[in-house]
Amino acid sequence: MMPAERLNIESEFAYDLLQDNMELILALLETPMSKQELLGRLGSIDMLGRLVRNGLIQEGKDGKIFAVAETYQQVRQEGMMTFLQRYILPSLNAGLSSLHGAESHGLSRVWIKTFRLSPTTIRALRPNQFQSLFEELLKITNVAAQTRLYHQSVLIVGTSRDKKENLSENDSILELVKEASLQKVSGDEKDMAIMSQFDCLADSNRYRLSLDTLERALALLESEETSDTIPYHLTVAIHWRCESPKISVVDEVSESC
Amino acid sequence: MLRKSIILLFCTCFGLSFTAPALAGGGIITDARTVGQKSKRNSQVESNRGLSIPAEGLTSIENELYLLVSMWFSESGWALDSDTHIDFYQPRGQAETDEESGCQQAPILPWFLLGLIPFVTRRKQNSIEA
Repeated sequence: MMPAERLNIESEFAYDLLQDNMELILALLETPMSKQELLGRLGSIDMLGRLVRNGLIQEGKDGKIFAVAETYQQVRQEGMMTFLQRYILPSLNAGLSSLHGAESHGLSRVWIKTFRLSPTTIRALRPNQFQSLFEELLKITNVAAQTRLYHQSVLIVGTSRDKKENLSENDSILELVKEASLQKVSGDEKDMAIMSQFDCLADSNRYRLSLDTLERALALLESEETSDTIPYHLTVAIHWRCESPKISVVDEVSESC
Repeated sequence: MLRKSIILLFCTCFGLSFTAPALAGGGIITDARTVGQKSKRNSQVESNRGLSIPAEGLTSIENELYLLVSMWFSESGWALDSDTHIDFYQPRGQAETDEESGCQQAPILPWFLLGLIPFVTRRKQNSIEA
């Protein structure tokens, strides 16, 4: 696969701008917009100027506004709690709701797995296996959309820290998120924890393809299990914010969105 | 005539496919870095809620304590008051029944109190010396 064109978000200001205008950037990743259309969505020419100055979008010769790269890559530049609140928790919350058949905004699914992996493999998970997974998901966004597009998030939370026995599924996930966020700031262990999210726009077809890709990735990880290793707890969730699906069984409802 | 039509059709199709925008797509990848660098805005949000700990100069242990305290506050429903209405620390299905809920997590309060001990003892010593 050809490497994706990538923009690394370095500045804190650009990070905040991307956070504030994520829906817009995601839309621009799909298709360029006229300046008027963009201004209509942004509501202010100042904001448009800031986005251009910080290199998040660019204006073409024909006056259309483009996203500058196929992939925007960024690292957390805020407190852990607000990061969790903005990025991880909404999708996880939707996944937890779907586990219990409760209605959530859109469709979601969550996988809770424990693999037995060597420390070397664990440290290589994010840069290798999960980077490949994100590249695969990125590839899916190039599939022509057949129906309306909605925001889709895929999140991965992993930690090698032990979890307590006899916890409910919900509490177990919450415990793992807490442990992962703590492990991520612990000197020697920080590269054993994963908290990553991939955001894009998806229609029902892309959502289904993403589900398949996630299942394949988890199956592949299972094949890397070996003896004499440590347990690694992984929570993977996908949240597709399509409008008002009334059925909680994802495979049956994809087309209805 | 037929040949001309075919050529015209071919050119039109080719021209359209050439000028139409390429299949687009893309995404945003976000990772949690090891130590948070809080923006002024985010710092402000947190200080408005009563937590004002500068990110600069925090060692990892202090940062961990900060996280623990944050989470302890969160368990009281203090921090997660976003517009998206996340009832993260409330088990599903019990939101309206007023049942006792919350995660069965490790008790954080003792850790928090433990962290206060040096300050408390130092203050006591000072008062004795005075």
